[in-house]
Amino acid sequence: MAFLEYRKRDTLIHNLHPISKVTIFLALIVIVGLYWDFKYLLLTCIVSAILYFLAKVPRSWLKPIITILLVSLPLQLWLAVLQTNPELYVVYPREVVATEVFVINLGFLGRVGITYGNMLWLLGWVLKWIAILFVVSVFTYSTSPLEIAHLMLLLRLPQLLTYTYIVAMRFIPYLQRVYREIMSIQRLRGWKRPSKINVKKWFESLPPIMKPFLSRTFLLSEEVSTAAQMRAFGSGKITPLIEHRIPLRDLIISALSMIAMVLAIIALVIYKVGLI
Amino acid sequence: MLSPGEEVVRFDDVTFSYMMGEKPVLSNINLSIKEGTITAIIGPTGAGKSTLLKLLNGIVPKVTGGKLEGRVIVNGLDTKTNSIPELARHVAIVLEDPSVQIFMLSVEDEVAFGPSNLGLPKEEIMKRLKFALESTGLMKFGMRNPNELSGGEQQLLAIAGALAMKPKILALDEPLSMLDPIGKRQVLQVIKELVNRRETTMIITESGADISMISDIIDRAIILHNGKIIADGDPRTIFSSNILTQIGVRRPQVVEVSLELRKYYQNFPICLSVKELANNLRNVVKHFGTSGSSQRAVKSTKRKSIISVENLHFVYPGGVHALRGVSLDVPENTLVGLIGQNGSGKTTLALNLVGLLKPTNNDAKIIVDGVDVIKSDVHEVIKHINYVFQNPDHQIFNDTVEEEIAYGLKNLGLRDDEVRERMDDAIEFFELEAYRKAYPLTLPRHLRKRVAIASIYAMKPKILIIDEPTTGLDTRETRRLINKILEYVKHGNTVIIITHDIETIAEYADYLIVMNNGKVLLTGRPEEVFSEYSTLKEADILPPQVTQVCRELNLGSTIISVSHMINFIRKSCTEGGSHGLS
Repeated sequence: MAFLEYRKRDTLIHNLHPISKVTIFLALIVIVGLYWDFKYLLLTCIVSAILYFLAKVPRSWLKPIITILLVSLPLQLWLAVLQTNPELYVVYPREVVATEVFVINLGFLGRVGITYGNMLWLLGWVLKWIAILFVVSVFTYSTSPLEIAHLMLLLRLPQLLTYTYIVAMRFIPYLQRVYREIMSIQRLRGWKRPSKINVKKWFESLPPIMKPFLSRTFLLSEEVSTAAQMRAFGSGKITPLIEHRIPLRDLIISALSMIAMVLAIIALVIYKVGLI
Repeated sequence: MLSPGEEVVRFDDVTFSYMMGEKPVLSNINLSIKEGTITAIIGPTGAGKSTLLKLLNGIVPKVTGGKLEGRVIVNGLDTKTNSIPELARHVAIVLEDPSVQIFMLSVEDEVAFGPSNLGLPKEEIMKRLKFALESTGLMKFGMRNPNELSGGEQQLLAIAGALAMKPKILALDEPLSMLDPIGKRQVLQVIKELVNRRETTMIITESGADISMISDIIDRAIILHNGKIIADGDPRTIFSSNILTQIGVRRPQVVEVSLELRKYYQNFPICLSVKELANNLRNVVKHFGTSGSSQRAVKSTKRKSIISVENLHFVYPGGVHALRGVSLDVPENTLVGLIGQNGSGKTTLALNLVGLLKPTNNDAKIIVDGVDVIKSDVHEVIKHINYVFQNPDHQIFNDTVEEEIAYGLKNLGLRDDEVRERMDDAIEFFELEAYRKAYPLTLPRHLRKRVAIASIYAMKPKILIIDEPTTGLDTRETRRLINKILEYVKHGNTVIIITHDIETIAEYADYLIVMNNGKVLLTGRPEEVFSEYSTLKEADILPPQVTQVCRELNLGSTIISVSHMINFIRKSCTEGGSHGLS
């Protein structure tokens, strides 16, 4: 099965109410996004890995996760070596973060190199990526687009937003098929995918694919909008059909997730917890 | 159950054009439809059938724009002064393509979508949901994602969504045209059940390909041509006149045979179903001769193979085993029909033949026109074999028909003068002269289809695979296209047509390949293939109506087209003398 694709399964995580999954996902993403200290990030990585295990995410997904990490590493390294200024670090002792392993002065680029400070930053950055990839994998593997749609309806989010999401989820696979078919059709007419290195040729090769694809997409949006109107969409008085009752277990999980997120934010803002 | 009575639809002198100053799509339509009736609006492509349906719920002109003259009254409501959501309570329309009218992520949500938009109480919505799912046999699919349903099931889901609106009028716009034989059967069965219950007034449009499937369920046939109603009456009267043939719409095969029999037996009724014709034939013709001598002359299929496939397996990355050890030989210089349900492996086989997909087993062999496709690059393979996909709009991207046809030729690296020469030849061959400089995407569908085929034809492959060339075409356009294909075959080429149009392929193909569950089930001349009635049943393929009649009558030989049946009947009637006709 494809990476980041939902699969219906009978696991503890799959069986949670979507509100629990969303709050866990939200809490972890917010914490991982705001925190930089490797100790806390390591903890979020462990939590994410446990969720990954409980959701029985296929082992084959580890391969793209590792690939993404490796591909993003040069950028992370480049960003890290630029951050030699000890004043960027507010929590760890100045003498620690300012300790230089190897630093050179590149004139207008400033001082570039490796210090204890930017090593801490790089470690945090790598752990953030690991945690995010695990959390996103768990969420997409265990939460169907239908659950999200129902949750959006339950939360009474704006109708247009909810139905845009639903229609997108319904038609993305369809448009993927159309795109693949157009590629096949044009290959049979001698079209070749040019090397991306030759930007001019790459742009020149787009019309045979993109013109029919965009034309189909626009036509589809028109057809879908007409079909929706034919079934009274837009009359403005939709009856929600979604079950409002959320099981106690899920209420507790959601509440705990939210509390953890709020506490983490308070600790960060007031006590600088999680910063480096 | 309703009894025909109260008027539920009225068109008062309706004229409509999409753009100011443009020729009207509908002209001076006066029409009244009574409650509880089943009406078919029949006409060729572009006759105005879909526009007429969309006038019922106000989509035309409220969404599409355009100029509407006259009045359309639906269940007492003037469509000009009532909103689309209000009209949606009274009339529901199911479109031709099921995939674009389903937008929710589960079957239940999809069916409940309409009623919940109407703001009905939850209990009422649940009641309607149950009714619609039961009526269409979709109860078991509940929370299934519509993407996982087959074409027929998706069309049933669209019908369920429409039924849940509890409309007075249910309008079905060519509901069978895009479905495979199983899908057609599933949908037709549900339509027949709805017809039997007479709980709603039904309007069905049809352009000819599936006319034989609906002919025995309708009460009334209205013939629409160039935006005008040119005939209106009961189906037997309408079908027995020449009006359908004149406008290029095929008559049901059973009607054609009935009309022929009338020449010999004056009171022979116009039959609308296989059973009806078989029963009447039994009554009037005491003895049928053998049909062997009346069969058409068929080309010998003992020809050299131009395609040879051995043990071809293909498994998609998701794990679907689409081809399971396919082995076949395709004789050269023939028109080949490749038939089977959706998902039987036809397209996957075609994609392997042109080298876009490669077999997933190591011992497969695909030799096409002497070229080892597995070892060759697509750009080499397309000099020998090519494939025209079903939807021309996925291919066309150029600003003129000329440029569209020249695109593939330029990619082959041909000299400018040769590009010009081949382009001119393709334009002439497919009768596109008048549209050379036209923007191809604005042409009518049948011309877009011709442009798509012409642009591959110009690349001069020895073997051409065409996916569903006749879908969406009326009978006249179908014949015109098939004649072009036959001419191409006459020049020493081989054409493989992938199709669900059994009647057309039975009439024109020299050789048939039947696929089922990723395997080749049958191959041979159409007469041979259609005589394997029980094997075809395995693949859910119903032979042409005339073949079914032969089977009902227990005739020894297999007749596959109306012309053969007519020859056979003539022979039986004339030769038989007293033993032929009672």
